[in-house]
Amino acid sequence: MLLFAAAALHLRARDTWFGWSDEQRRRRLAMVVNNVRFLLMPERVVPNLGSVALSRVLARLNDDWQARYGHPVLIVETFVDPARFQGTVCRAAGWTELVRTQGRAQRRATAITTALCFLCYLWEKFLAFNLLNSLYDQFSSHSDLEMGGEGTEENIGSRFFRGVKGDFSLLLRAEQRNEREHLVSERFRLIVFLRGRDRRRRIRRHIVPGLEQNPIVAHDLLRERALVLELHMDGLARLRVDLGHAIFHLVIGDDDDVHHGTRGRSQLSRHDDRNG
Amino acid sequence: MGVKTLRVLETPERRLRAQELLAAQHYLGGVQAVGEQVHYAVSAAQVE
Repeated sequence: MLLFAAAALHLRARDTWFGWSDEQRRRRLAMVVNNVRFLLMPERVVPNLGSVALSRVLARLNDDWQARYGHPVLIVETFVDPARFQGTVCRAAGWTELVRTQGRAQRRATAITTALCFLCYLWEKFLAFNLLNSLYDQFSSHSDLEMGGEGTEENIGSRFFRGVKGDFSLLLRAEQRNEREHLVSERFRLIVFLRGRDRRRRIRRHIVPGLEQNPIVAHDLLRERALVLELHMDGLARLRVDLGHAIFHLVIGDDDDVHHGTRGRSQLSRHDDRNG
Repeated sequence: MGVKTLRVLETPERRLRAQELLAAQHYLGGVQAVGEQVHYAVSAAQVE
């Protein structure tokens, strides 16, 4: 039996790890949930059941949470009482262990003063949300994206990088630590559609200039020349932000999606035809 | 070895039963039902 509930409001180890501000925490804490109970019934001992069950649940947690509460889950946290457990299930399931927390949780007859804190990132969703959140922050109040232009493109790139640099650093650090075989950081593409004044007929496409300055993004953007269009992206995991004057797509594909060049270009042609 | 069933406990009756189970079996007891919560029940496949 597993029970997930709202995350701890304040947790120094976690907040330091994220490096988020009070304002960011206020806005994003709802996307963090706490695995508050994990009960393995003692009658039957099944090898590896804990880590397998945990992984299976995490695979669907975001969808279930979204369906019920209307917002995604980006990170799952849990606390382990070191006096009783070692966090073996969490480690086996690939969670990230933080330093011991200091705090007090009055529960039943026991008071826990320290706990092992584990975090599990639902990476794609975590980064996608942070990236798009950064875009919202930086561009939602600006109207200078309209019609594009070189100066504007430069602004997009520089502002974008200032906003999301920490997210990529966080991802890299965790992936290096966990020695992940398939790096999420290699599978990102950010596509920006800048709209003209006539939204229906003058859609302009830009990959954000400046992205190639980032070695992670350059891996895809320069080598694969990612030209992923709306039509193509329909079948992929994606997030979309429509600011009215610009549309931002963040695409996260698996290995097969890297080889999208031919299909993407053919659809690019159709897209061009359609939009004159 | 694997997971046989995995389901979300949707009804109040099932969640109440889960809380009773936690109260009886978990060393920290049940959780006060406040705010957003999702309960999962997982059963294991039979071990040969």
